[in-house]
Amino acid sequence: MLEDTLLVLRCRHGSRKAMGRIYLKYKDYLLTLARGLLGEQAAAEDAVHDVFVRFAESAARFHLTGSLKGYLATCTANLARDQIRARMRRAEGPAPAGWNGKSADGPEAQAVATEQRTRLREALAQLPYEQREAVLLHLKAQMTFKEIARLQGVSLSTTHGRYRYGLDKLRSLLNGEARE
Amino acid sequence: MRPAADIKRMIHNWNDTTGAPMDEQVLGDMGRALEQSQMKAAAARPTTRSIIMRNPIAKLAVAAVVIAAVMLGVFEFVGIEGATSGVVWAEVAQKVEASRGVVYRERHGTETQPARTMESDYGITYLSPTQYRAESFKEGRCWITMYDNRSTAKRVVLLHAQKGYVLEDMTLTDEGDQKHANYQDPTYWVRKFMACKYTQLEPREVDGTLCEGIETTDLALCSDEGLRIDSLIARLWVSVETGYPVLLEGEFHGESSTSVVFDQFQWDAELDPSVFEPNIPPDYEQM
Repeated sequence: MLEDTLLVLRCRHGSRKAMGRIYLKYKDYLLTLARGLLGEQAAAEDAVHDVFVRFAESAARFHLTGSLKGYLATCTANLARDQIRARMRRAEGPAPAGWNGKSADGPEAQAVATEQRTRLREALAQLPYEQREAVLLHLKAQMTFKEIARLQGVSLSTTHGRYRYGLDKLRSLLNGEARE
Repeated sequence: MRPAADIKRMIHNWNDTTGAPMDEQVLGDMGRALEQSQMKAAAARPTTRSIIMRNPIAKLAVAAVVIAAVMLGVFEFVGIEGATSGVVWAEVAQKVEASRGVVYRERHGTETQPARTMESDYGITYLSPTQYRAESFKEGRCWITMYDNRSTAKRVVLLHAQKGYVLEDMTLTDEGDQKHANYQDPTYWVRKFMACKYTQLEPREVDGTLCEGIETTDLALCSDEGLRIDSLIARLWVSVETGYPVLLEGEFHGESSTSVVFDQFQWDAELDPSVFEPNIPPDYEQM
């Protein structure tokens, strides 16, 4: 937390090194989150790219009021939601081709991805977006239900319901698979 | 069914990694964006200052604004508007804080999700200093009930569609969800409202009750929120007769655009302890 505050301060004064440090620190975390929310590797990479570039664009006037990790996760969730909305408008539906991580991934990424991870992504893709978001923001981004409710613009109990129903559906979809 | 702990662990341990081409691309774009950000900030600072410092008309305008602000502040402080008002605004927050319990309805909306697609049309919340019960309704049917007890740090969630329930210990973080300092709690809003710059509205009837209202666009209303808010408009309507809020509504625009409405209040309610006692139907199974 203190390290992040110092890094943000240095970014405000134009430090490329500090900016690079922030990127290295949170890139994988945000990519995983974006991949969970969006499915496609390419879309997730675009979202992460945009989050960091927008952060850099506002660096000179950026004031950190909470956790940087939480702020970046919130930005990622917002961008992901915008992308989902755009897909809906284009009537493509929430799950694009290549969601299963086979056709959209490059060979290198495919080799790295475990079968279980693929199944998890497939199961996540079957959840309604709001449930998927609640599950990932709580379990991966470690946001409180209050923070997620604020982000989603719903009541605390609705957020809790989204999370619970989403988790229960995941349990059912992944039923019978070998445990880790 | 696979244990929930397994799913939690899988998600927690899931880690994708970026490739070198992406790192190179993003770091390059970030560097350029950072440079531009610095150049813009450097260009903006002296221009603004020099306009004000060198231009006598601008100086006079600034002075006029300062005088007007001071006068407005004085009027607000001595309560000139309040002299004809039935509502003593300074006392509203005190009354609300002293309320033993409160029951209210809350409705939410977002730009991205029309109300008809929401799981909840509205929620009913029962709030006491240590306990909380919230029910969410869709088409007149309750689909989730949450009971939180801050004294015992226990949470019970009933999922009615699945005839299931969850018992959990509230972690310190989750417990924070229920603290009064959050946007789900009208008491918090009233307190924040009173600390903001606001303007008085024409009296009107709200649900058959004569009310006086105030409106704010002050971003300080959301100063405790983690999200970035660029603009907001919020109104608080208070009963002339009782001095308690009747309607609280707000629209917020920023990282996400949301709206919230609190109404159908029962202030200073002496809530029976059974209201907060989790009522788990016998045919419900633990999830």
